[in-house]
Amino acid sequence: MKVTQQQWPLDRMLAERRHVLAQWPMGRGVDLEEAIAYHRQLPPARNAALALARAREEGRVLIQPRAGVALLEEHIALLRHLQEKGGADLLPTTIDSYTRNRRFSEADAAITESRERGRSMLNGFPGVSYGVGGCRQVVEAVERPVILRTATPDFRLGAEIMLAAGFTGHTHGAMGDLAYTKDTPMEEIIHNWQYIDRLVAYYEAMGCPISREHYIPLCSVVPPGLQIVVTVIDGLLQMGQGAYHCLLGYGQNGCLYQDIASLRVMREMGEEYAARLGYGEAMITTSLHQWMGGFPKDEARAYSIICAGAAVAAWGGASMTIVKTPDEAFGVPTKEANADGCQATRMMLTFAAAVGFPVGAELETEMAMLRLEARAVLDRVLDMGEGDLARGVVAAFQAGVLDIPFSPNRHNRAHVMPVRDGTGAFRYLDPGDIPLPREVLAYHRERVARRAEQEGRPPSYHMTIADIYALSKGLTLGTGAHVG
Amino acid sequence: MSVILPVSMQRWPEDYFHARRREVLATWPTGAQVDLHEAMAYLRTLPPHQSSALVLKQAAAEGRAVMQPRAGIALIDELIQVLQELQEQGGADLLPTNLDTYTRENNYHLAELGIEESKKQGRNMLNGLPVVNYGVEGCRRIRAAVDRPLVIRSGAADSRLVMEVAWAGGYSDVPCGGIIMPTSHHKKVSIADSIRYWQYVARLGAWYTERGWPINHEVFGGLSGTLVPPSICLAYVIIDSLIQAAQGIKHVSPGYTATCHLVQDVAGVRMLKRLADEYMARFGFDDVTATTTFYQWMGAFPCEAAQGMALICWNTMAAVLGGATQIVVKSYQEATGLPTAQANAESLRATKSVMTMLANQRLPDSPELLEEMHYIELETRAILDRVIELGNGDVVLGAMAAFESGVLDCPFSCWLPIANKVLPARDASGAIRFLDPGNLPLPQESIDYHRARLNERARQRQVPLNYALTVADVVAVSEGRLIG
Repeated sequence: MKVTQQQWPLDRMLAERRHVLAQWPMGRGVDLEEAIAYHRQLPPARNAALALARAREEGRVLIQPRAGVALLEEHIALLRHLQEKGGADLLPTTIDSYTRNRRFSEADAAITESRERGRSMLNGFPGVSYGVGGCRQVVEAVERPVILRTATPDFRLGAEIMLAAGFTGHTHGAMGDLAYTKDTPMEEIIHNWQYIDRLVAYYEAMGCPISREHYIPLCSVVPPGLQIVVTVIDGLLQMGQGAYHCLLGYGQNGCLYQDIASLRVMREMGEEYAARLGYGEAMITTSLHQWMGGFPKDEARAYSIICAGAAVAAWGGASMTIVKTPDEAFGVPTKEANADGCQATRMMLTFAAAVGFPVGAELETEMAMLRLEARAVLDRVLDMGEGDLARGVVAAFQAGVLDIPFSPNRHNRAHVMPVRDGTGAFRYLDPGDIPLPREVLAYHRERVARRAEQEGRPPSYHMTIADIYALSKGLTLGTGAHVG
Repeated sequence: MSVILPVSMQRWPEDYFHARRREVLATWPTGAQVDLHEAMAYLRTLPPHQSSALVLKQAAAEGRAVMQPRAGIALIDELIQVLQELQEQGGADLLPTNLDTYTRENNYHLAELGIEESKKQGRNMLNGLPVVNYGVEGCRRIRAAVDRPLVIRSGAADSRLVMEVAWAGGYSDVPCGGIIMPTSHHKKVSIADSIRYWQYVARLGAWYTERGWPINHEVFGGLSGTLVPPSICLAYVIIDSLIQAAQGIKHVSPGYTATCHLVQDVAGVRMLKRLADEYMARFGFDDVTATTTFYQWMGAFPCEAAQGMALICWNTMAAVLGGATQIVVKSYQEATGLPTAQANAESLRATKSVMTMLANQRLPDSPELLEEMHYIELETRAILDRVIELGNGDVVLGAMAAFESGVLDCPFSCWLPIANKVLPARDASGAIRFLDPGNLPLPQESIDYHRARLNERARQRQVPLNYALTVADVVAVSEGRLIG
């Protein structure tokens, strides 16, 4: 399978649609023209793309929690609670694992079982099983835009059904999927997401904008320069298909100045490369994912991470933040804990946005280094595809020019090793074959060496491993001892 | 020697001090237990890490912050359990003992009834520990049961007997201030009496310090706890630091109250340290170690626990980024009454976790920060220099005259003799400004600046610039907003 950056001709998408909709009986309920008419009668306040564009214009940060359960009425009750008690601006619908893996009959069975046992037997909402009609009940039961949250190499049918039902946001793209699939080749993943992007572009062309949201797996422990590169690539791939509402997500790592710098540079790079590739009309917004690593079991410590994340979202100019909950460490949170996370986030956003975060030398240096790194890698990827981004991405992964640490995908080289420096910022312990400019590499080496000296031990992957678990233990650095 | 010396900044002569001691110790039977030389022999057996002064000094040298919660109940065995929980589960670096209201009013008879009632009813009937009633032996029981330095937390006008008992019993710290306590806690006390009471306490602390058990004097910067402009806070605590230092103390920790404006708070803490050192040196107290204490929000707290947590985390960011040495921690149950030990410990852990995440980072210099520091410095110097001038170099006499003329003033004080002419309000970024500076001797540059910043807010909100802003600001934080 060969992929290119070119927008699919409409005929190609329509031809492929027939096969996609035939995957499962619920696919027959999708009528694209009827869906467009349905979207057109939804009030603008229920459109995620418009809400995000407006938030960007007004300099506000929207709040979105995560939630999804097996039973329709329970899911609706959950979203209403998050809307009313949590004050969420955007409402999530996280998809269960069976549906993500297209095991629709097992999802159906789990719905029945959930009803019998009186509790959710799925880790998300099986949107395909409920079909267009069921999903519209969700959209109509709440007053905020509803976002479809999933990650899987092939969610084409789910996208067809849920977008037709009035969902106006859809997470993930090809790069973001690399943590969720072991064997699927890069070309196939890109192809499947291009289908969804092309479908979104169709809605958009008909006056029904849909927000496409990207972030990469384990983003919080990936060096921010690499997060920026890979997430911007997902954004550019979507734009190639004509989908222009692009939300770029960054994962908080807990280092205040690096988190702020990264969010700011992510939007800059998104805009710069969108313009360079001829997608100047794209509406680019950013979001902050509160710490995506292991959470502390202690609610108090969990709150501190949530609060720091919220402050960073405001100071980094994000238009949205994805909220974690004080119960995060224990699995799917209760609706109360979820609303608490939203409330704490809201208060921090209000305070941090009013006050602002002054730019000092540290922040400026970090931003300058991130720009250097992002441009060097993105330019190399484009070169490798001779100007075609999609082809460049495939070649870059083969060559290790793109390489995502900790990804389980076997087509990812996995030579990159991150580590924190003494201030908690993520650096490259080993950049693998990523073409870092010499200045950036020297900056990272110097910062890591300073930590090694402080701790009196050489930098090694032992530090990396400890760093990944540190925040869940109430530490920033994996030093084995409390800092401060 | 029964003649009372006229109040002044002079160090009390040794025999005068001991004559006053005899009077104080005679006011309640447990006073007879206090024997300074026996106490000194006991204190020499305690490890240095149980001295608050030494713990703060070391933290300051290492650029770390330490945490102190607040706690106090009627029965000593129960208090010991609470303190142990705060030490073990909360990770408190210093352990508090708040006094009950009867003891603060020197009404030891009623305090005794409170102890008996608590025992009889099996529940806590006092809002703190009646230290005097338990005497030196009681304090030593607490000392033996925990391992951190012990601090009396008292807003009393007259804590002389309390401190006699507590310091002989192994405590090593107290929030103090002869000019501060009337402003913050007392309607009617005479300023001369209040200054004398705290000079006594300082003189007593100096006695122990000089003999090898260093006592810390936390100068209480909480004041009215309600929209206190930073320069007022700084002027008050530096004056009281000087008054205390004149009695021979060697460890002072002037306090700063959170405004909830990150940049203003960082500026306030940094300027407090700089000006405290400078004025101490100017009066020849170069050998006094000055650390800084940061109080999390002293105004009304929100009722929602999640918002309370957010407020605690928000304040901690400012304290750490400003380089404060000690953080006095609130609890997320602040709005609803005395916190449970568990809630108190959780609030400590949230505070600690933010400290850890920030990894001893400081807010770097920026135009916004330098501007804020400039005005705080300008105003604090103007008030301090005028006070010194009014007393012809005697800060006690100067402060007394300054209160009469309104050169010293504080908004929302309960003390009847205060001028009460100052009115604060928040500007558009949430910083506390002077809506009306009353008779404070502020330079015109400063008055114009505050006025301009407030005008910005009034323009943005399209509201008139008057006390209605102040009223709205007083309740805003408790409702989850920074600006009213």
